[in-house]
Amino acid sequence: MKDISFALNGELVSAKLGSRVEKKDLYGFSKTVAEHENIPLTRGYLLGDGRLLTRQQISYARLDPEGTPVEDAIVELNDEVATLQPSSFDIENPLEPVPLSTLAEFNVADFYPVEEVNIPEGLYLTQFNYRKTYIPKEAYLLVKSDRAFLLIGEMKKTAFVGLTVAYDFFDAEVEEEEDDELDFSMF
Amino acid sequence: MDTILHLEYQGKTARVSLQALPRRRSKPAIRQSTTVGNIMPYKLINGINAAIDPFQSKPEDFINFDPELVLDNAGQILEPEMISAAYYNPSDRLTQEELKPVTDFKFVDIIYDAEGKEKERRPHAIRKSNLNDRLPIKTGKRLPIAQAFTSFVFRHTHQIVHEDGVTMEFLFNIAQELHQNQEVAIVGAGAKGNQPLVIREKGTPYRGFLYGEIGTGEDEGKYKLLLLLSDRELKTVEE
Repeated sequence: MKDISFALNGELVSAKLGSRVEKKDLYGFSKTVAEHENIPLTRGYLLGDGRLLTRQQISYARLDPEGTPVEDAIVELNDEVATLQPSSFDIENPLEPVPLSTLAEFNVADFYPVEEVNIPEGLYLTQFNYRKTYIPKEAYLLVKSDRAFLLIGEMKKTAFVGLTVAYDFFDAEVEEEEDDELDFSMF
Repeated sequence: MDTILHLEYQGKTARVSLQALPRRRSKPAIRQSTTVGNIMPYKLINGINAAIDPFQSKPEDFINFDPELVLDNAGQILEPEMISAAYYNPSDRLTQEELKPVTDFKFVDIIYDAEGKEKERRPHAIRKSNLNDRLPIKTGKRLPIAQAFTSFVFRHTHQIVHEDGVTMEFLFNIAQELHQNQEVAIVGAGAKGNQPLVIREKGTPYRGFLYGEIGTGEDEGKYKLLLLLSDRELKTVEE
């Protein structure tokens, strides 16, 4: 458990953040493997000249235009120099009460259990960075009667539609889905 | 994304449009640079000799030589179009020149339980989208909104919109009933309406929930009907 602080109406709210809840810890998981005569195979990289490389032979590097590896770089967001935001464990994260129905438009990527949080039940808008980052993540603190969760993800934009549908509103990029092979067995 | 959803509600069915939604906060354009210019990520050959077996090697091999390195192509940048996936037998302790891809193989799904123990093996299943099948997606049990939003993790949201006046009335009525009762409706595929939804080919299966709102004020006469997709409950392992 890690200590985390929030600020609600100017007052400090202390809590403890548990480990991220993984789907595989709740339901198990599946893995797709390639087999030849019941022998599991390993995936490698085939080059155009016929050479086969293993994963251990490939590395990733960040290079400048001259081919020099770079450690520190200037980061710009929308053409403006970006500022590194502190980790949520180093600041008091603001809380703002919002309606529970807000979650209908919030796509959760990760969630963590939160303990010892002493505020009224409800949904609170906040933000969360596990580590220092240039782009803080959107988050909500959901306080139930028996426990609380920190939900991290992304808000989507919805619209009321009438007789005329403005289809250009929905002209969104299709996001790549993680390929999860486990058949869902929640119920 | 524009997908057709074959939806059933109170005995009536209609084919309506399922739309992906834009982000409320647009993703910033990220640029990393130095005084020399923009930084780009690259994949490259690192010069490691993957054919070496450390358990068969002796210390003097590494003292006198560098058998762990093959520097001929070290540093070569690999463009994405230069590479394709291939599978090989890892137990073949062959030299680099003889490392060959296996052409005759099959994909197998191995299912593990929550403790990581293998439960089942089966041929790899490729899922197809089931949103627009002959059998419609059925609406089933209702749950209070508060219970649904505090019990399930919603991973994706899509909006259902009409194609014409008839389907607008169909969807408006669904949204109105859900809004008035402050409920969500569980939806499912298959003959009994209890199968998870698969949105796209090779996609992940999800449980579906319908959420509806009716507009007021300047949105009077308008509706909002969302398909919420969940693949897990909002709980910890201990619960």
